[in-house]
Amino acid sequence: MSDTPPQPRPKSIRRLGWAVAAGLVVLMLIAVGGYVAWRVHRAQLGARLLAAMPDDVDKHADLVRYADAEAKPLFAKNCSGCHGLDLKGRGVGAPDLTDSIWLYGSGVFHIERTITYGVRSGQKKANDITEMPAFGQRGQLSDTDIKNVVQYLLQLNHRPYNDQAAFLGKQAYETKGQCFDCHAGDAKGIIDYGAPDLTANVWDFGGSPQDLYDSIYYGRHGIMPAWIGKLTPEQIRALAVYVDTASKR
Amino acid sequence: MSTPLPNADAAKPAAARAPWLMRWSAGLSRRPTRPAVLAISAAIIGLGAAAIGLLHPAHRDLAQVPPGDAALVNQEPVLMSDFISETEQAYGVPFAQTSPAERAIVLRRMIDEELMVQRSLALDLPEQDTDVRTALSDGVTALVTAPVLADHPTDDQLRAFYAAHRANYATQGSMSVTDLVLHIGGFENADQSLDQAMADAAQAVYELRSGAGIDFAKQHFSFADTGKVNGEEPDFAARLHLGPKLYAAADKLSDGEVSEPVQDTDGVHVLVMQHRRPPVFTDYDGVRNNVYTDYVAAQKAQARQDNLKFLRRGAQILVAPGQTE
Repeated sequence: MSDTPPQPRPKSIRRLGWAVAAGLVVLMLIAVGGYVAWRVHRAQLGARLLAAMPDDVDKHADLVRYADAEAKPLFAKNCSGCHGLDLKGRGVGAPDLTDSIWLYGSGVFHIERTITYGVRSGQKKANDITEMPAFGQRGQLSDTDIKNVVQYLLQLNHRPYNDQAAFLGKQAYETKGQCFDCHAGDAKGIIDYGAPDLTANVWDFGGSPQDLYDSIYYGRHGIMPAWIGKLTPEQIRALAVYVDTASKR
Repeated sequence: MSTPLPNADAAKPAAARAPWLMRWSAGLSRRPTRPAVLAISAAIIGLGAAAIGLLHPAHRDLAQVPPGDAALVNQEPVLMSDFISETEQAYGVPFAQTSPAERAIVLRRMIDEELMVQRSLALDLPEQDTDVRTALSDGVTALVTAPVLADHPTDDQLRAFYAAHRANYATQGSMSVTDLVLHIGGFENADQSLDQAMADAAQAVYELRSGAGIDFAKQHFSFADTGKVNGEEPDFAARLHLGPKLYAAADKLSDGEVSEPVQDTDGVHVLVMQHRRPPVFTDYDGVRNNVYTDYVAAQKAQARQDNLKFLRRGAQILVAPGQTE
């Protein structure tokens, strides 16, 4: 039996193998380098987004695009449960973010503050100066008074209403209920209190007469959690820009 | 002619005779895959480690203020958002309309506050200062109770709460009652047993209800007037003086009525009501606001208790010998 050593492969095949290996390494280098460059670019955009004054961000289209891209998955994960994937609210008190009605001020700055510290979240810097009292449950307004106030609200919003009841409701608004204290004498709302404009026909808890009755009878105490500590400042800024942009479309 | 010495190398296979590099090349040509894979893998791993290191650098003190912050105080940020908000509140105009000097005043104040906060932590004030501890505790309570307040009670829940706490929504009643006691034991009553005392008290109650006076009960049955209730007292005072057991018995009595014998720590008592003005319970509609407020307060208290239960579950609490909590 012969004991000859195996013959080495031809040189051409060896060269091909080396070429393939080298090519793979080069591709890997390009991929990693490209990824690093992309990450660095994104980080720079994030830094610029955060460094800009809140209400100046919309002057930079690249920052707005970056914020939208970053915020979309964040919104889907953290905010859509209450505000809906389409930002239109889910009828449980979380407002429609695509309209131009803002309880605590519009613009990136105010939206960012609201996301950071929440609404009635327990944080000292949260938006929670007032809440809608339970006028009915507390016995401050009678059932008839509340129904009259509802008619007055329908009148303010140019909806069908009962004339006499609306007149009495206006009286209740101005005297017994002292609604003007928060909602202002013209019912246009006061942003400092987060008291909504009652003439815009936009209702976070429903605008049917029964819904309006329930809001006055049971009161409302909507809360939004504070996201400070849960989201980074850059994430919060991105969300604020995303929401602000959506509201302007 | 001499025979050349045998060459030891000549006995080795051809590959083994070659230097190590030649041997490696020969091995490569025989099994090109494995070394190449190993080499490429090592390169990839090295590149990956470099990329990770580049993108996640080790923490180090910042020498520049990060974007989004107005200042860094010992590496703790003063948020730009807070700075803008406080400046607007201080001067009542939008931030863009404030002057650099005005902003500097606000920023200086915020930096001073941050320094003081950090100093308070260094001085361990949260452990030593009662005001600080109260503020911290209140802060946690506010965070914990915030979600609770979002749930509005139904009318049924409020009515049920009212029914369960009806006494809280009543005017204060008053009573004028004589508390007679038949002592058990002691030097003078060494041979008085509980059974005998209860029997004597029952007989005394019968006599009193039949029209006998208090003095008769005192003389005939050796009752003593404790004097716990002095004249007509409001209910809260009578409760304090009589104690819960005797007050509960007195509360059921109307004018002129006599209670059943009540065993207490110092003997057997019989209560004789001279005058009872019962509390007037306000109906639900008259106290709705109070009921609502109390209900919310109870919810907050419950939330606080639940939070404490949770904290205790995860805490190691050791109590000194002889002490209980």
